[in-house]
Amino acid sequence: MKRASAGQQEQNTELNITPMIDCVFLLLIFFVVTMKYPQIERNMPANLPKATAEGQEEQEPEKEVIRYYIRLVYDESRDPNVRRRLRSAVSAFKQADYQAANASTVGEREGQRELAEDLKQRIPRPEMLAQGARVRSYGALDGQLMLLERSAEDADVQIILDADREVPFMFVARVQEICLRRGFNKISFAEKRKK
Amino acid sequence: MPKVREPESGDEAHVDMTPMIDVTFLLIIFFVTIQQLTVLEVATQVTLPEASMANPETAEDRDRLIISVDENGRFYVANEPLDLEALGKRLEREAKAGKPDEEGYSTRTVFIRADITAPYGAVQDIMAACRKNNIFRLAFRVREWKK
Repeated sequence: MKRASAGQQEQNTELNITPMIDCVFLLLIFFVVTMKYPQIERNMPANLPKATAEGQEEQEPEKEVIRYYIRLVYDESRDPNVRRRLRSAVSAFKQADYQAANASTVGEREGQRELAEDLKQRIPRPEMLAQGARVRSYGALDGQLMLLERSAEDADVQIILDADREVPFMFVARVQEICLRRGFNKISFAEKRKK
Repeated sequence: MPKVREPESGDEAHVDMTPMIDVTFLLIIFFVTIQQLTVLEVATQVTLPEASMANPETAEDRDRLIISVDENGRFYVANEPLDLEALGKRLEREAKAGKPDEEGYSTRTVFIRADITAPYGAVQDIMAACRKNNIFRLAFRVREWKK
């Protein structure tokens, strides 16, 4: 591409830009590939019980208020090792999850992710008590809520969620979601029990 | 100017490279900038629970306080670890800074970004501290889950 200069006055140096374009495209491809898309975060509203001076919220007096208590507990009387199992299961899961996030190859990442999923399923689930009665699964809880929906046509249902301190948050979030799905928007979280 | 000075009389098309390079540089700068723009509030690495019944973001930036909780129950605000006492003080500051609404409650909204394995007790502590400081607008941050 360099033109032979005819005389000494013409000092035309032409820049060969083809390699520069190649570099530029390489850089571009690099940045596109290493871009991480931030996860879109959404919100699930949580309500705290508002304590007025009288201690109760003033509702329209005609409407009946049904308080539905859902508790998540780890019952050591049924399984004395459950808290210990919980701790080890959570740490094992977290370790696999961390490995999955920082894996260097795609194959390794997929493997670790599967392992992490498996370990997540092994985390012991808390016992669910709806109005004091044991509920065996999320499906059963949904069924109970369906019954509640039917039996409480006019009344105002206030769901009160409570859980033991060690309960991993995902179980609480799942229960909250099941309640929201059934149309119960008034979910409040119980105050800390003074043990 | 990388234009070929003498257009040949053949059939070859001569593309002017300059605009293409400009656009490419722009794209590069765009991608570099995007990578730098991680909002500090949500920078703490936390695996959020998945939910399908969640609402998109509504609260305004200045009325928002985002608290992250990791698997050990430690609290983070703007990616900085806090203990319960420091969190209480921070909430107190935030609550006092804003004007209360008609019912007398604080207009601040607290978003809790709790990890799926975060102990519920830590979340309870945050809620108790909020209640103490007259903050009743709370929401949990979740990931979107499309069934």
